Amino acid sequence: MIAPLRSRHRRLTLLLAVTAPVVFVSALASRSPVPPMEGNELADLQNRLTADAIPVTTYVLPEHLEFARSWWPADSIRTTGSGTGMGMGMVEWRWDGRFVGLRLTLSTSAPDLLVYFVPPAGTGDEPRGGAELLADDAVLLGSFDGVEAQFFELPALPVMDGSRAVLYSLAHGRIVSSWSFGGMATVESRGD
Amino acid sequence: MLVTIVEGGLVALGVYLAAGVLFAVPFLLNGAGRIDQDAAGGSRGFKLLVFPGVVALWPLLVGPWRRSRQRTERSPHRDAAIAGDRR
Amino acid sequence: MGHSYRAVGWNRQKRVYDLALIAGIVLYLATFVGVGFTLHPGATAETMLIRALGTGAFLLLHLVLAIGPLCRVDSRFLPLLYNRRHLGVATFVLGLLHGGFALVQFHALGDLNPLVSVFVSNPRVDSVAQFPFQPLGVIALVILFLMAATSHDFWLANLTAPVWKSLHMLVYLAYLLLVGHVSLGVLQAETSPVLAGAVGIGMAGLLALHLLAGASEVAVDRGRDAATGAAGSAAGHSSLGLSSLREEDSAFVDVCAVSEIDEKRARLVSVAGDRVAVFRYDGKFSAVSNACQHQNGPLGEGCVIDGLITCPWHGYQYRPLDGASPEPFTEKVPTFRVQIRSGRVLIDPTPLPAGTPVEPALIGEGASDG
Repeated sequence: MIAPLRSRHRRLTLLLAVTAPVVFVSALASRSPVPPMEGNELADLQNRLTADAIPVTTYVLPEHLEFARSWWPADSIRTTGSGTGMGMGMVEWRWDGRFVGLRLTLSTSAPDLLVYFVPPAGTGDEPRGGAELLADDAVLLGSFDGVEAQFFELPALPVMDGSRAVLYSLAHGRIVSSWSFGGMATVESRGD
Repeated sequence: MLVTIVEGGLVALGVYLAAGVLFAVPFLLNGAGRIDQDAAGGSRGFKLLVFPGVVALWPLLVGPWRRSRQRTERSPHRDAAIAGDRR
Repeated sequence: MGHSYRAVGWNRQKRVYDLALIAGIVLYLATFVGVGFTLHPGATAETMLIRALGTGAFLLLHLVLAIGPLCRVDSRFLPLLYNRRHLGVATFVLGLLHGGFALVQFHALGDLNPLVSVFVSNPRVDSVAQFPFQPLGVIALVILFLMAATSHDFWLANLTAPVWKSLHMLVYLAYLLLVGHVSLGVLQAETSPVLAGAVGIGMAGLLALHLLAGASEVAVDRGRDAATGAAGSAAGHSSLGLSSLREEDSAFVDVCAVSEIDEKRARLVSVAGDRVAVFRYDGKFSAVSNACQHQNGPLGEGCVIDGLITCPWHGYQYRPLDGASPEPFTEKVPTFRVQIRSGRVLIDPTPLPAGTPVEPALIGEGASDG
């Protein structure tokens, strides 16, 4: 290389040597905490998931709304908008006290789904942008693998009214399905 | 708001690339050979391979084509040699 | 160059290189998908493909970025550099497929233009953990496209090597963006430390390699400046003429002792703001500017083959006498006057226009003066 490019190259690599680790470390440091998982217990639950638990609530996209209304009682569904670009179907949530399970009942093409536990929101600390954005104190339970039904262990946090389990699309940065523990099961989705 | 900005950006990009296509076709048929004799007899595969780059970077090729002359390389030694020659 | 351009100037070495590259990519993708389905039997084929292509492109980019400093540290890696541009194009193709599948998967099913959706669907720029990582990948992909699209020799000749190199240095920005894309994206979802560890090790290794190679380059420049007798590198190149031996030859700069240059090899010296390669061959000495016209490769690290200075990167050749490539090729590099005095090699620090013939200095002529 000629001298001016050599010094530019040197400056660029020095800059990279500083910025890349900063990006990497700060991204890792700000990850949501992950509760310890007990593999065997979870695997057993995984197998039982398709059996006899009672579906608690469902989430539907508008294109599936008519179908869903005829399938589920209309008043068990509250949905008010669309998730941009999502090709998801219905989500079936189940809860047995310590574990939360979910199953997609229509075909999905969104492999970027993460499951979070969200503690009850204090007054006024709902994330900017509304209910479809993830609260900062959300706890990552794990990633949803795809078409398979899956259970996640809940963190050792008090499960009380107002705490929720949410299905979050990493690619879209928004909650696509949400389920409240205790009280009436609800579905939340805000339109654009 | 954000949607409008992004959509506007994509339209501008589309216009830029469309201009690039309009530039690239005559450039590769005629202009490239005028600034670089190796391109004059270039194969179809060559033209196909450089086409996307011409579409994307056409403003860099306008000047050389207009002057019908290849860009001259600049480096401390080349610049000093030319300056020394002029003195 | 001096012959009509083809899509690819195939030769045996490039064929072997590309076959190994394609086989490596196919093997990697197959292994990733195979192992992936074993570990996650519920995952969809699209998911596996997106992840295999993404990790493949990121790995390949590490390899591409490691080749340069590896060659500076050890010349045995030079064969990898020879066809590095094909590696870069392969990286872009894998990245494009990854991005294309992801775009269809995540953004094509809504009523918004998928390209718009990528940029607007996640508004959390105020958060680190939920930062919109996809636009970072898109910008990196655009940079990889510009590099792949300009990888033909036509671009080197018509942008000129320094402009081409500047454009291709954007790869460091692309790498930074991809570190962000990966650590703000998939690493946020990953509960196992394996992937984060691999990314961290890859990044640390790559950066260490670059800093190491960079430090050795600085040492080369400092060492050569000292060899000319200038008062340290801080004095700059303009002061090099002070080390002259005689008043009438005040311009000439001391390079080294005659015996310090091996036959058919060169010694570097920094004058007039850049490096000069002083070659010794058949008892003669000639000096040319160190940067090859093709890709600004280091001519001084090459050797004289069949009487021609041969660039170690892609084998471009120049006559030592006038710094010009033999017919039908048209590349030329600046030349320098050389003298031998008292068993020492000296050069005139004023560069002559590229292709200017210069009488080589002979070992014999210096003996009478000494």
